[in-house]
Amino acid sequence: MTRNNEKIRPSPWPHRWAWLLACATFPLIWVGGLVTTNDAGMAFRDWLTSDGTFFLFYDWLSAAGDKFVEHGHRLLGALAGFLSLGLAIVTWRCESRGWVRQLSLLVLASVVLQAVLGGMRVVLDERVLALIHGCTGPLFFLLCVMMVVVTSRWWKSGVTLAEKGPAAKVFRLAVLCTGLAYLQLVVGAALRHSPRMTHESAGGVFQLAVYFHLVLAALIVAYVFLLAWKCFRHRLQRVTGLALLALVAMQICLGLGSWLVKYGMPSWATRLLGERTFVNHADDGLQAALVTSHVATGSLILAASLVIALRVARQLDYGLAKLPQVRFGQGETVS
Amino acid sequence: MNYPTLNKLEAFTKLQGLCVLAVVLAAGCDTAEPPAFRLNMVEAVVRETPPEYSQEISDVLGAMFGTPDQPYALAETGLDQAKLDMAAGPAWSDKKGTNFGLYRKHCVHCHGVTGDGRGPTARFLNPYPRDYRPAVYKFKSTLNAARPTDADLHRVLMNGVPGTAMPSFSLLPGSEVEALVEYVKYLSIRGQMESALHMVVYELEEEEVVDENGEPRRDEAGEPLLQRTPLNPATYPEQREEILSYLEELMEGWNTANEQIIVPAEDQIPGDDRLPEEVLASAEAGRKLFYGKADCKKCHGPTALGDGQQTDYDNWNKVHHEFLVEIGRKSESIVKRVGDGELDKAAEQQLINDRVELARWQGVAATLYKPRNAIPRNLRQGIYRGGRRRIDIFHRVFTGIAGTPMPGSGPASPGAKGTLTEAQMWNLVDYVLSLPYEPPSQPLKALPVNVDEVL
Amino acid sequence: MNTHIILTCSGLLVRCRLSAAFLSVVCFLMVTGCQRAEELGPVAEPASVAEIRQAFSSGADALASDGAAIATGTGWATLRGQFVYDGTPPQMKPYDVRGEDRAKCSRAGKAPLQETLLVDPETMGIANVVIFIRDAARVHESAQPNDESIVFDQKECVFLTHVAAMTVGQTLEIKNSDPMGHNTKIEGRKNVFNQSVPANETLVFSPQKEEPVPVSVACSIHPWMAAYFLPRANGYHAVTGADGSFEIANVPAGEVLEFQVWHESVGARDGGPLVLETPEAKSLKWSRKGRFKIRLEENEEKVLNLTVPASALGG
Repeated sequence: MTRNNEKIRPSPWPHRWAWLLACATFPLIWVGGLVTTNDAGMAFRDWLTSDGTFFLFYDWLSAAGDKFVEHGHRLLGALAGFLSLGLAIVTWRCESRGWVRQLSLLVLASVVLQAVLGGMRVVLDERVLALIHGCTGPLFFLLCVMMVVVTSRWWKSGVTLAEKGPAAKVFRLAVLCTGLAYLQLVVGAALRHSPRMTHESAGGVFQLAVYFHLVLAALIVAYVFLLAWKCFRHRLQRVTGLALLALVAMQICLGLGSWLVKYGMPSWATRLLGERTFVNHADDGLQAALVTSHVATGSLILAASLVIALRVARQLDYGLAKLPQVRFGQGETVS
Repeated sequence: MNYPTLNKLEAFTKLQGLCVLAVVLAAGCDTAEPPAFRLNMVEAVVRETPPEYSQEISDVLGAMFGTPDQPYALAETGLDQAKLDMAAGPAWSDKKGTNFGLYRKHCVHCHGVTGDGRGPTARFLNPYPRDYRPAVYKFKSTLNAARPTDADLHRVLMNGVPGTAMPSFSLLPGSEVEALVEYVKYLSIRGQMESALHMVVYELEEEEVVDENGEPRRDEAGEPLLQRTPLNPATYPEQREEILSYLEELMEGWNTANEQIIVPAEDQIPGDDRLPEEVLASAEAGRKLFYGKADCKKCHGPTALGDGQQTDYDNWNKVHHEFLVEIGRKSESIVKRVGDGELDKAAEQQLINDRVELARWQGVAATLYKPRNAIPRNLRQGIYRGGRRRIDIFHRVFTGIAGTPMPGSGPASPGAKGTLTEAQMWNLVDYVLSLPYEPPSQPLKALPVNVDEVL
Repeated sequence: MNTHIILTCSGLLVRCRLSAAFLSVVCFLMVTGCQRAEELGPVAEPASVAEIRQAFSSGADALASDGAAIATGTGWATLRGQFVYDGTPPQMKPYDVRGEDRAKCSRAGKAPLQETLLVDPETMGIANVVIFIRDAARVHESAQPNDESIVFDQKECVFLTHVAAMTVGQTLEIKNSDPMGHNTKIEGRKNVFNQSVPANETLVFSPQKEEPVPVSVACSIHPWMAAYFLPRANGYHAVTGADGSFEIANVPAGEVLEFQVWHESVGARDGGPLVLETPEAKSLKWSRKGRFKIRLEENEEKVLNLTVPASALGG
């Protein structure tokens, strides 16, 4: 990788913006999760305006409860939008790699799409759109993380590995984990939204989602464990690998906790462990914190496995310039 | 360069995209129709209400109670329409921040749109969420046969039910909890009315078929031809009167709940200033009753771990259990008759009819959850679903738990003879409250050592 | 290394399959879920709803309520008869006796037999058929509520009265002749009762309202125990004896009386109306609801001997 990187001194700004955007997007995701937890999505029945006021001028700090959460989500979304715009501008000005520029445009387009999706969820009062909005949110977060990774100095000055065998396996494993983590997120979204659907099939969707969520959790634990072990053994992305493992461990605990504070103990567990001694409180801090952290950690797991995949791919010199084009050049019509 | 893995990844992404799309489409019918109240098909099938009446029963209920989005209460019910409007419909908030659609937001995922305890998550919960429709509530201050008071329902909402998925709604504004109480009552009354409509249909006589001149048509034998009388209070005023009289009767149950509250005799209530020895003595007396006259050990077990009689069902599960047992019996009978062979024409027709009937039953059975036994409370855990105050335990001992196998020990109605005296029931309360502190390894010997901590 | 490859491959396969399974199940739900679920019953139709609601909200004076049946005749008559089983008398299975009271709930080491359908082998009479007048315009003195109490005993975990019919106002003396505790649980439409009955003690229960059909009596401690209970507003009710015979005396003569006939072994649970299609039942215009109408002359002593085919009793 000694193409023309040394000729132009790379600007640090795209990377900084990307970090900023990723840091704004992460809370956006978990506040979004909080909106679902509180079922606050319809706190306002209008969009782009909040209760008739253009949303940027709405008196957010005087709002309470659901309106505070929902409007907070809107404001954070706007922030992510402006940051994406900034990122696109900065990238176009300072970045020489064409595909990174295109990627920044894709980020911008995605944020707009995501916002419109969220808006339509409100305007049409459509829970299914909320579900999709919840599934695409992490995808946008992934794009932001991708921007961070590919604009980093490490990436630009990347060193290829001499021995590629183990790294290729790590790469495949990381891609697999990313895929599984995302599927898990989709199933999780179905699990969270189906209880509040009123159609008769909602029970079936929920049941299915629960079973899939459990199966996928088991698969993810197994593969992430394997991935972390490979990373550690082959000295590839050790920190991220370990972080991923820790996140998954935490995620399992958060998941169990979320179920417990929301739905209590299933009958088999009661028989094994006895009954819980405490009472759940609807909409209390514990419930909100556990459930929302579960959602947030899910996105982090997704991001961490993507980071491993991307960085190992970089180390493997997997046709880096082409990589994003392969992924996004085909179906992309926006940019 | 070739990227097999990436190509695969893309394939997966596409597949996942399809999955999402499918979920969307599956749930897409969600918006196509607004949510609707559903009938209690188990009751319709078990009561052998002819299927033609289902639509009419649904219509009458719709007229009397509206829809989940637009609830309606007849003046006779005394329900507060404003509260119902606040609790019903989809969740949203008005400009002032008043929340609407409270039931859909807080309750529907477990208790279901119709209040049948069959929301999307219900299958996974233990115990199953309460079915409001029979209007039987376990944790109340009134006599076993009576309806709960508003205060009872309010208390359950505020405290939740420990050991179950039912949370406390104490963080909700008082007005919202009140609206939910009203809506729960509304769903119960609707459910009771549904039951009553089956009675109305059951009582309907067939009517004569008349020709255009109003003359009854006759068959060859000269007997008037008869046909099904539709259930339609708009065209049959007598049906309207009958329905209203049923409504009046069931509303009397709700309106007189406050008169059926169990009030313990003042002089029998143990004071808060008892000495530890007095409490111990009382608990000891309670222990004797537990193993003796009151016979609590039969169900709660000789160790009080809830390991006695465990094979019974509560009312809600029992209905489904018996329904499923009856299906088994029906299909057995059909199999037997087919096996016998050599059926005459009438028997063959009967067989065909029975098969159709069985198919209908099985269709309903497919929507049911597995019935669960009523497991007696493990009294050593200190978890009291109906509340841990002494008066709560007293109410449980006095009148049992409605809808469950738990019998009462006090008089079933004012003035009747109770199994135990009030003093004895208070002894039992002391013993029950001391049980979590008694070492279960020696349940018959150990004395409650930490009794003063409980009280 | 090999394990890794296998795991990866199987993982991919599993994922493929999982996704496919997910997809197919979701497609299935899509197809089935969107259809109106038959087994959930129909939903209300707005047009009829509006019409019926209009009827409910308009004034209540549309109909002069006639209430009870109007007396047309005078004098009194008697109806007696017998229900005779046509078929081989069924063998009753023993109760499913379980639990620590197994020994005390057995007779000579054997669980007592069920009493769902008792047929006397000699007379072929069917016991425990319930027959009562649905609505009486006049009630004879002898059928008026009185303050006699009815003993409802239980011994060896069997309710000694299998079907207890009584008049509202009477008291049910719930007795326990066993050396261990029972509880008596009545789940009626209008009468609900659940109280523990200690060994060798008696409780009383006074039903306040009549029931349209007999309701179940159970014991939660011994769940196999079963009996039925029917409180009626007047004394015009009878339960057939072991020989299948019954007598209802002093019924109002000269007017159409509608009788309801019920037996435990009909229907899904807790019994149901006994529907007869025999010639003698046809002559009484026996309905699908197990009812027939009859008009008796003054001082008439009508005898009804009814043959009940095994099929009418779920056999």
